Parts: sequence; structure tokens; C-alpha cells
Amino acid sequence: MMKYFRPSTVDDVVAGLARGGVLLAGGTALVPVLLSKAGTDTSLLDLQKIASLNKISSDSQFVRLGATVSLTALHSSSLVSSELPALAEAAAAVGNPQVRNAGTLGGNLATPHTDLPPALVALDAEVVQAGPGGEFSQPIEQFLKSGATGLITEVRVTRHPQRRSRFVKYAWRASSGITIASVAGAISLDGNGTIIEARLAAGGISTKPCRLSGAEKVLLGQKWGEALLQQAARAGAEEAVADVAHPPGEQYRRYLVASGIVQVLKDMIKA
Amino acid sequence: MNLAENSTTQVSFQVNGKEISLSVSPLTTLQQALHRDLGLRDVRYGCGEGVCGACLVLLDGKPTASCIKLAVQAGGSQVVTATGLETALPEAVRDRFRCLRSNLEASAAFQCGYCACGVLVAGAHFLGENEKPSAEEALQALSGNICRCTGYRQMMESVTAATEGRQTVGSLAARPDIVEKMGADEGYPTDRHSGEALVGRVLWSEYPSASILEIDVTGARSLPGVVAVVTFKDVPGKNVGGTMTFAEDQPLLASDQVRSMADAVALVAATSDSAALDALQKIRVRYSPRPPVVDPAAALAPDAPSIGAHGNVVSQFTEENGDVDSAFAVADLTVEGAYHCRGNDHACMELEGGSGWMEGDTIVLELQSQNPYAAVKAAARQLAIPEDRVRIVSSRMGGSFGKYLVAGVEGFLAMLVYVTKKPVRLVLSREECLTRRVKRHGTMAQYRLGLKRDGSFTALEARILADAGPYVSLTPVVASLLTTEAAGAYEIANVRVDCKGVLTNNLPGAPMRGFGSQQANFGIECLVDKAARALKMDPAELRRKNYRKRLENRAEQEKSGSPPAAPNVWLAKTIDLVTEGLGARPASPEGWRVGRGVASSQAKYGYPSGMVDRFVARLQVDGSGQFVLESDIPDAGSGSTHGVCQLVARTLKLNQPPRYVLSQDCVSDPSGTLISRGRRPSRLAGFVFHGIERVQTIYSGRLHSITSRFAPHTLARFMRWSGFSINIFNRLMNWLKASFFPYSIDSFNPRISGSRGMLMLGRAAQQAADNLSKLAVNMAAKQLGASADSLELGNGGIYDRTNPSRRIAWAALALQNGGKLSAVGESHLPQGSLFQSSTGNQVGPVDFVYASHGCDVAVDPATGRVKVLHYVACHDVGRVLDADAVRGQLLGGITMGMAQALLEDLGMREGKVGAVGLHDYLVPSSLDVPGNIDLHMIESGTGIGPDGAKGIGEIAAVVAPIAIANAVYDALGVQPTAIPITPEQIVCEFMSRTGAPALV
Repeated sequence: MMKYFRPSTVDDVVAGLARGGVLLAGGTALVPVLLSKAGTDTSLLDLQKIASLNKISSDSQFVRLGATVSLTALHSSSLVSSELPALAEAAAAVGNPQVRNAGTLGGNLATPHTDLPPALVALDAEVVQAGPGGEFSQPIEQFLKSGATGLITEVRVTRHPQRRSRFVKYAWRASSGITIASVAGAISLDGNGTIIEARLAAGGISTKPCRLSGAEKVLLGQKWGEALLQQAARAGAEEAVADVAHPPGEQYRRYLVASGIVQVLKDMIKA
Repeated sequence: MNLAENSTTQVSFQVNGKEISLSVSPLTTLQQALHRDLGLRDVRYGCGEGVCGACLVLLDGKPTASCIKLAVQAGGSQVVTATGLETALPEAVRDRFRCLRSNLEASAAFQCGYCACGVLVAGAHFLGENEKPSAEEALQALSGNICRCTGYRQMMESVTAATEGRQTVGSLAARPDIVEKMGADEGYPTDRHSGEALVGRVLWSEYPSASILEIDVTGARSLPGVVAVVTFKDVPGKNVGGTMTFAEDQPLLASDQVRSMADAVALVAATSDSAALDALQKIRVRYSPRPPVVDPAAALAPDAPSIGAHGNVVSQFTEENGDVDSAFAVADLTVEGAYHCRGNDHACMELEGGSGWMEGDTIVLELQSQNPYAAVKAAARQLAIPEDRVRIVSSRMGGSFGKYLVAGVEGFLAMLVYVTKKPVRLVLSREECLTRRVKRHGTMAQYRLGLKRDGSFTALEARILADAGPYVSLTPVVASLLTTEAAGAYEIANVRVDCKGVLTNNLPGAPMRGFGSQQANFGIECLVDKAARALKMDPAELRRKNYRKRLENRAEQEKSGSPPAAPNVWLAKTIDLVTEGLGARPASPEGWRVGRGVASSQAKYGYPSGMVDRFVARLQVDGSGQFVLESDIPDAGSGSTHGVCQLVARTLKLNQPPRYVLSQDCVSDPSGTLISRGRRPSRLAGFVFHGIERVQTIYSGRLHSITSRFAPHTLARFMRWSGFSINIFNRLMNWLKASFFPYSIDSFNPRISGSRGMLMLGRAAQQAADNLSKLAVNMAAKQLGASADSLELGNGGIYDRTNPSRRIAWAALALQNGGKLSAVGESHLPQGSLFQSSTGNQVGPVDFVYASHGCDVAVDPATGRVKVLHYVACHDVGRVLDADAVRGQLLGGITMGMAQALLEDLGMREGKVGAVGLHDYLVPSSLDVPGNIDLHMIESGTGIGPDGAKGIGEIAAVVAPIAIANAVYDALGVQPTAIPITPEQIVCEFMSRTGAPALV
């Protein structure tokens, strides 16, 4: 029997989850799946009534993003655009206006092949979940490995005034394009222009985003230069796991990862 | 667990200002609740994925895809649909919104109009959000609204003007059809929901090629809610479906074989969709699959499995002129190439399907059809009932582009209505439309061109294979046109063409915007560019040098009363304007490669010589002064019927165009007596008429089946020898029809196709208007005691020029004549021959449109992305009757053609389509269309339509993909030999051949 609930507190959701409920936020990914599977026996827990989840805020340590914040809100937030440009760009790259109006941050984390997760990996975000034992926080990569076990309440990113970040997506159609490959990057430079922090991730080429640590190693401790950029691109394209079953093929997706690395690094240096 | 058992929930929301409480299942979408349950037909459905925006509503003020939103999620919210926008919008925005709506109407921003309501929602929201937005922001705001018809230009111009509160003025005063399409009336076939209607579903084949060992429906039949499960055994008449013009080889429901993924095995009617889906799952079919034949060339191999009853070649045409071998022997240069068009989906925004019900003992079907007569005929035969017991109603379609020329779901729907005697609604899903239905014929063509050193073409040889899919359908027509158009726009003395329609286990082929012209022109135009490169000559110059100097069917054209056209004069004008318009080469973006491509085309419109093509229209005015134009021609989505009404308004100097009514009478009366004389045809007349058509069908079917087995040179000889007798037969049949059935509507031919809506219906309507005006003037002369010569039309009636106060209104004339005054007009192609008796070649199309396109593109070698920097198109349209409508057709065609070159990939693999939704079948969005498309229209006045107009619905889509492919060729130095050209191909295949260093 399909049932619909609209809990008003996080505790109610956690209790509902314990009884096997399924979380429903924007529904852009979930609703088509529900409709295509005849005979689903589920309790839907609609999160729209929980106002605390739909907030963007910051304190001295973190930028805090609620789980049901919409993609439109993410890319039009001046806080996100100025401090986490990679995330704003990733949010703007998803689907089309109506999908971004409905789609949420939490929903995107639940479907990790989408555009937000690589940006969050590059930004070294933390995912906060509420479970029966209370709230707990995980680094994004660990979260992506284990998947959501409770209710995602918040994604928080440590504030780094020096950090630059960028996101680029390759899709054949300019709107509602399926990601063929995406690259997100974040770097910090010291006063001499040496790269002291580099994080790169590729998306769209596998079921989950892929951290490009080899390319990061190439960059770390180096000064900016065209040759360095090409070297990082080559390393990143080589290490990327591209295993999507449908076309285009693996080789082409690796080319795009290389192009994406070059693109985001250039953009970040320019910024 | 069955979905039907889902608990229902009460949901309350505000819809267009009204509090609504509704009982829904948790899985009812907001779109279903609004469209089906609340009757708001302005909330349409196109994709079910949030991609197309046909279902957009404002949910608490935000544009929302209601197809992927559950109704329960909207509980407590405010919903505003397109028709509620005006009152819901804040006062400050309302004026600009009204302005937007009037601009959209004025500029003919929609054609089929299926996307219109979604566009209004997105547009209204945009106007409310932005005080002084940029054009780029407007493009972004509408990027979630897919329009298949127009290319977005007029839509975006309307939005931009509205942001400034500026009203635009269109080429016509009013466009009532567009106003209707922006409203919530039940206009499209899939709009109908009747409470008691059953849900129809189709069980499709699991394999592209297999034997069926067993079909067991017992489990499905016993399920609760299942009313009927139908297999081939339940077909009361002949188990023949598909388009039967040439062969009856396609079963309605598969019995022992499936030959493609488009074959249907069983049909289900149930009280709910979930019950229907459950039933499909319970039908057990045992198959013995075979490896499918998917390559037309492989299908020709002697050991290839035979898909049809008589081998895999189902039609063959040849053309031979001059001495080809000798010409090649002495040619200074020979270039050759193999060119491949992979086929496309029509991607009409409205899903395919509709409803059927019984009216007395008549089965009424409301669905998309460009050929209602053929559909009636097929349904009647399969049910073994008389044809007058089947009626097709299709007043408007959410796009067609040729798809509905071949039979679709009408046979399934008729079957389910017949078996259940209840109303049935059967609408295919977007996935079914993509993976189970007809596609543009894929072609593989080998071309060889001989030239002199100065660039003049001396010899051409073309061998073309058209992928028919597993059934004959309309492939002979496509093959015939591919043959006659193989030489494109060029005068070549020595030509040899051999074109075969070949059966494969791919999806069935169907005409699509060009009816073969795109595929034929792609081959020759790519080869001409290759030759230009070999000669180091400007491709435009090489074309100019070789354009056709004479129209083959000049005599035919003269018979039709219009002045003969010299193709080279008009073609040269088009290419001159294109090269001039392109100007200097643009700078290349950093790292990108820039290229320029041109293409010219001579593409047919209307029917080839030797075919009967008659249109009848009746124009009537009633006692209230209302005009109605009636005919049997459905509007296939182009808005052509509206254009015809405008023509009538102009002729009779009316302020309001007549209302167009699709005449039901016509549809059930192929002999045409009903519309022309207002009485039923005698049974004998109907019998004889159908007899003639039956003979034609058998004769042409046999002829195709026999000649397809000849070797090409034998066929050429055979045609030289027998072309004469075929012509005699054809003329006899045509004479019989023309003499004894003066208004006969030829069910042998599709009703609306080949860009001939304006051409044929326009001429018929014009004649009806002329006849009506003569009638009225004579009546008025008597009434007013004036001489007919001094009377003029205008001011809502007829008045005396010498004394304008002496006037009689149309309404008064109608009242005097017993309440209505009417006149009939007709148009027909001149009688001609199918084959030239001297050569055995086809005579071919009666007239052509001329066009050249050119573009500058930039190709990113790193990603393979192709950006169109500048696009210039020039068309000879004959005569511009409605500038905005023509512009919309041409821009829409260019957009579709570009997408077919760069975006729209079916992903065919082993007979199966990879693209399952609009998320991966990439119909372009507003952001994919270059902003600077320059369009030039030339009025040669040489067309055979009203005032010398030509049919222009298809030509732009024919030329655009070629201009793009040639520009990519110029940019990379490697020729793309297939469309679509994918970025992956550019990077992985072409870049390695250009000697560029690999990046990785």
C-alpha cells in the first residue's frame, strides 16, 4: 500500500525512516521511478513541511546548507556564489529551470551520479545526518561510500577565504543535458602563488563521483604554469574511473575529464 | 501489490484561485489531477521527466513540472495554470503578460501549439521576476520549454518585447488558432478523458527478430479490472495492420513471428492503468530469438535471412540518362564517397494516441492521422465491418512531421473498442514513442561524381539503400523520391541511380520532413564539397556553375498555369545572398577550429506527376454572417488550415477569417459526394470507387514486388520497355476516377503531406471563395438593381462602388438563400505520366523549392563540441502569403535540421533504440539555437500554389544538416560521412586523422 506522510519534525522523519519510509523532497528523480514501478509498497515521507531543512546560513566556521534547499536557491544565493562557486555552478548546470526549482541538495546527494556531488567532493564538504542515535557528521567521500543511512539535514563546508573553486559540465544539449563528464576543482594558493591545496573530482562518468588524487598530487606544492596544467589533466584523465555502460565510450569521457581539468584550473587561476 | 489498491488521500489546494478538494491516489501526479480529474487541458503532457515543460504550472509561484510532482505534494499550495495566469499575476506584471500573449499570437510563435501553455507559464514567471532582463536571461528562463516546431525565435522576440511592454505587429491581424492553442479547450487527441473509458495498453515484442512459440493470455484475462486481452486470434477480419498502400505484409498483431521491436503481440483494455500494466506482465510469450538483420547492406547478402515473403528488397528504382560509363572514362576528376543518414525520431511533443468509442454502431477514433481514409479502410478490414462504420476524428495534432502518414495506434484502438464496446483511451508513453514506433528512413548511399577540370559535372552514379525496417509501408514512395532527387540541384548529363528499399529488423521507416529529400541531398551535397576541395575551388562557386538549367517537368508546370522556373536563376540568387550574408570569416575562439559550409537544394513539394491529387473545400456563410470553411484535411501541426482561412478572408475582404472545420462527412465518404453535393454517395459508386483503388493497390504492389527482384540494369531496360504500358494503366485509373467521381478524394494517397497543405487546400479554398463571391455578386446585383460590374466585396458584404451606401451584407444574402450560402472549390494536379516513355525514368515531382544555406561553425578539438557562430538561409518561397508563418516554418526547419546533424541520436544498437526519453533523445532547447540566423526569402512567383506560392514546410530541414556537416568538414579537413555527427566521433575519430596530438 502506497501511503503519503508529511512529517513536521526531524524526529518524526527519523521514526518514519525506521519503519521503512522513503524520503521525498523535490521528487524530480524519485517520482518518475515510483511511477514506473507498478506495485510499490512504500510510505512516502515528504520533507517540505520541515522549515529547518530549507535554510542557507553561515557562521564563523561553516557555510551551512539545508537538505531541502532547492538548486535554484543554491545557484542564486550570493553566499554560495561568492564562497562556493563550484557548488553554485554545479547547481545551475542541473536540468532546466523547473527541475532546479524542485530538485534539492539532499535529493542530489541521494542520486550521486548527478552534478552536485563532485562539487561537494572538491569543496571537502561534510554531510550531517539525523538517525535514531541523534545527529552525526561524515566527510563527503565517506558519505558517498556508505550512502545515506539517516535523514540528511545539512551539508556544511568549512569557510576558506583563500580557496577558489570551479565546476564544469559537458553535456550535448545546453539545457536538460545529461552529464557526459563533469569536473569540479578547488585550490588554495599561498602568497607566492604556490598551490597549497588542490582537490579535484570528476562526475558523470561513473555511478559516483571520482576523486582525482593523482592530478592533485601533480599540482600540490607547484607553481602555476601551462605545462603543469597539461600534466595534471593527463594524470586526472588516466586515473578517472569511467564505467558508464551507455555511450559515449570510456575513451571520450576521459578526454572530457582532461578538458574539464584544464578548464577549471584556468578559471580558478583567472579568478 | 496492485496500485489500484492504493489508499486514496484527500488533497486540497487552490487552483487558479479556487479551493479544490480532490480524492487522489498518492501516486497521482499533479498533471493527472489537473488535466484528467479537473479538466484543465492547458496542463499538457510531453515527457514525464520534467524536460519538455508542456505540463508547467506555477506551484506557489514557481514554474513546476507537474508531471513529476505528486498531487499530494501540492496539498495546501497554490497552483496556477496557463489560463489562470492573468488573474493570478500581480497587477504590475499583468499588462506585460497580456502583451506577451498578444505578441505570441501576432508573431505566429507556435505552430502545433502543444508547448504553448507551458511557454506562457514560464514566460509569465520570467516577466514577474525580472524588471530589465537581458535576452540571454530570457533564453535561460524558457530553456525548460521544448518547442519542436518553431525554432524559438518568434517566441523569444515576443518575450523580449513584452519585457519592455512593447506590442509587436504581425503579418496578420489576428490568429484565432494560436489563441485557442494557448487556452484550455479540448483540442488535441490526447486531451480527452472520459470517466468510463478503459485504459488501453500494448504488449510489444521482446526481440527485434524471433519466432513466437506460444502466447498465453489466460493469466492476464482473469485479473481483476482487466476487460479484454486481445491477440491475433481475436481479430475478426484480416490480421493486417500498418500502411497498406503497397503491401499487406504487416500484421496488426504478431502471430508466429516478430520482425522488429515495433511489433505488437497483444493488446489489453482494463479499468485502470495499473491493472493494464499488471495484465501485460501476466501475458506469457515464448520466443525463439534470432540474430537481427540491422544493416541494409548485410540484408542484401545472398545468405541473409529473408525478412519479407519475397526477399529483403521491397522496392527498387533506377534512373539512367546519357552514357555514364563513357563519361566517367573521360572525366578529368572522379570523386566518390559513402554517406549515411542514421534516421531520426519525429519527436512530436504530443504523445501518440487518443481515444475511441462507439456512437451507435459506428466506431469513432480520435487520434493523430495525416491519412484518415487509409486508417478507416484498415480498421474496417481488420474488423470485417463496412467502412462507414469507422470514423476518424483528428482536428489538431501536437506535431506530426510525416509520422502520422503511416499507420499508428488506430488499428489497436479500433480493435479494443470493437471488442469491449466501451470507450478506450490508449496513449503511448514517450518511451514507447521512441523505442516502438516509426523512424525516418535511414539511408546508406554510395556516390561517384565525374567532373571536368573547370568544375562542370559530367557524370553521376548513386547507389542508395533505404532502410525500410521489416515492412514495405511507404518505402516505395521514399525510394522513388530518393531516385528522382539523387542528383540534387545539379545539371548532370550522364546519371545512373539505383535505389533499393531494403527490409531489416530495425524499426519501420516512415517519411519525415522531406520525404527522402534530406537523405538524397545529403549524399550529393557532401560529395560536391569533396569535389570542391579536390579542385581547390570555392564550394559556392562550384555549385553556381552546375545548377540545373531547366525544370524537368516544365510542361507539367505550364499546364498548371504558372510561369516556368529556371532553377539556376533562383538557386544562384539564393547562394549569392548566402555568401554575401556570411561575409568575412569570423575569428576563431581560442583553440577552436572554425569552418564554413554551404549547401544548396532543389527539393520537391507536392506530389509527383502521374498521381491523382484532389482537394475539395466548401465555403459557407450562414444567417448570422459567420463563415465556415470545410474540408477533410486535418491540420498536421503546421497551422496550414489557418493560413488557408486567411487566404479566404483576403479574397472575400473579410475582417475575420472563416472558422476551419474538419468535415466529418468527408472522412466517411471517400467518393467526396457528401461534401460536394451534400448527399450520401450511392452504394454502387462507393463500391466501384473502392474497386478501382483495390486494383491500383494490387497492381502497384505486384509491380514493386516483381521489379525489386530485378538487377538494376534489367530494371532500367524493363522500365524503358514497359513504362509506356504502366502509364496507360495509370492514366486509365486516373481517368476513371476523374470522370466518374468528380470530387473523389483519393484514399490511395495520404491527405496531408509533402508541404502541400497551402498548395492544394489553399487553391481549393481560393476557388471556393471565388465561386462564392460570384454567386453573391449575382444575387446582390439582382437585389440592388445594380450591374454586377459595379459591385465590390467589402464592409462585411457587397456594395456598389458608385454608391457605397447601397450595400447588402453576407448574412442577408445567406438568409435570402434559406439561411446559408455555400460554394465548393477544388484543386488538382494536372494529369500526367508516371514514367518517361523514352527513358523509362520517373517523371518525378511537378515542382521544386530552391534554397541555399550557409554557416560558420567552431569546433572544439578537445571536446568535439560544435558551435554554430552564424547561420544564413535563403529560400525561394514562390510567394509570401503570411510572412510570420513562413518564417516560423523555415526557422523551425533549420532548427530541426541542425539538431539532426548534431544532437538527435537514436542510439540504435542491434535493432533497439537506445534513447528512451526526451532526456536522452536531444530535441534542441532555446539555448541550443544560434541567435543569429539570418533568413532571406525570395519571391519568384513561380510556384504552383495560390499566387505562385510554393510549399515550404520541409525544405529548411532538408538543407540545414548538410550545411552543418560541410562546415564541420571545412573546420577539420575530415569529412563527416554520417549524421548525426557526435562530439565523440569528432574527438576520437576525426581529430586523430587531422594529425592533432592526442591530449591524453
